[in-house]
Amino acid sequence: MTDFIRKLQQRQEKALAFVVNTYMPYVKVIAKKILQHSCGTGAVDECVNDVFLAVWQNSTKFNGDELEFKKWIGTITKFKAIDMYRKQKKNETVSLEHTKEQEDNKNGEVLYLRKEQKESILIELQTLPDTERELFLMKFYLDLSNGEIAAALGITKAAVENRLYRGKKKLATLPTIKERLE
Amino acid sequence: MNELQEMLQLNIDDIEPESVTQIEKKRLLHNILNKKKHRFLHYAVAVGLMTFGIGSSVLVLSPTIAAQIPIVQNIVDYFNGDTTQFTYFKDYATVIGSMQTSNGVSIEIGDAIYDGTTVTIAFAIESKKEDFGEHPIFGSPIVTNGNVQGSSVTSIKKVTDTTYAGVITVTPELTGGSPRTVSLSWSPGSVWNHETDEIVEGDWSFEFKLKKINVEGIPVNYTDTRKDFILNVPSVDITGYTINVPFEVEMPSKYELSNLPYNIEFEVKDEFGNEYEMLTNLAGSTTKHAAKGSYTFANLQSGSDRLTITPKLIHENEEILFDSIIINNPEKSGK
Repeated sequence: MTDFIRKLQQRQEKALAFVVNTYMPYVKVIAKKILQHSCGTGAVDECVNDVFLAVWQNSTKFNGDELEFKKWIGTITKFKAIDMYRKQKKNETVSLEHTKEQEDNKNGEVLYLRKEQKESILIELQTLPDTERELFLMKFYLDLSNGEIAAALGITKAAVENRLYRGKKKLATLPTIKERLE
Repeated sequence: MNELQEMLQLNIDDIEPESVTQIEKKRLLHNILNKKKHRFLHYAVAVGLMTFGIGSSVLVLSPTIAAQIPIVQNIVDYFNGDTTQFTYFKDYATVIGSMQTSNGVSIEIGDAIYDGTTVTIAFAIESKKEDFGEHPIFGSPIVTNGNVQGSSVTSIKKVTDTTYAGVITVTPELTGGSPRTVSLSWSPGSVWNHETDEIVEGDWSFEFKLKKINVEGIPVNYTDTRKDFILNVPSVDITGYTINVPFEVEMPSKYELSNLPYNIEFEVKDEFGNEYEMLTNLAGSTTKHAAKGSYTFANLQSGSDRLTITPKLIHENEEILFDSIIINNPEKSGK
């Protein structure tokens, strides 16, 4: 299908069918790698479903070519899956999380985000350049600590803080994130 | 490295896709389209008048098995407790009583209602051997007046290992307003157990007509403007089974139905604080920046003297309330 992105943005159901047909194998393997072992097949299916629903409902917020579309849908999948994994772990270790939440409270972090708000954050952060996207998704979508982010990216905690500080200006242009920074 | 770190370091650019069956893809597409339509209305409508199947005023039933015993008695009773939809269903429903068997699977249409906006069909499935899982899925939707466009919600309950009770609630796109009768045809084509990917194909085919039940259209001629959205509700259509709220909306020029961040919703309450349950909704674009549609609610027949209908625009934490529409003496209507 030519120009499927524009057709998807025009809400043409055939374009959605094309996107499902083309990208489901890719989305599913990402969801599976993250969730299959820890949360089971049901979670994989739920994640795949959520990803395509988010893509369908937010297609107009995507701006780019086919290659970037693949990156877009892949990143949405990866982070949605990790978020599901963390929720599952949270249920398993309530007491530990409770302590963490108390700490976060001290820092003035907004802890509870409505699902829709979370989704907006996930979509809005996709507009950032490649180099910053993952760091900010870890911070604002997954609510990871700077230490956890540093370990995942293989950089120091100070470097994480530095990049977060420098990125704040850019983030202020994104409405849902701006709300959280205020 | 812990599990979370491994996940975070997953390189999505360097990953081999794995094969996915056509059935899985179909199921996913079906889920997304249904969810989308059931929420609100982000799709443009292809308007086209289809003419086949209309013209006869005689109720035509599909060939049925003589003196058949229903697969499931009182189908809608299986959903009481989950929904208020069926409180008065039986008082207004037409018995269709049509059953067909193909490939070892029987499908029965029990009874149905057309309220001028929405069609509700109670059905049952019985399989000789297959277990279709918790929620079997049909291959093809119901066609109303030759048109498959519309929104539809299917509820299914497993009654025994091989029998199911189900209800399909459809708000079809009805060209030319609310016709006195609608022609329904349904050839499900297949029944699919999405848990196991097993699919049974068959040639069940139902055709029947439904007359509109008594509808009291209460003119309200309502117009209100909020944030440059102009909302019109010409009437509220009350039946003993449902309350339908048709509406038209004109949007500010930066919006059209396809990029509208807001959900347009309606809340229906009586003076006792009961909130009426939304059953289905539908909308389609009429021009680039305008749309029309309807919301269907279950009528609680609560003995209310006064119904308050409040339209809303909802986007994340933002809720914009329009002036309410007050309907006095709704209980005198639609009986």
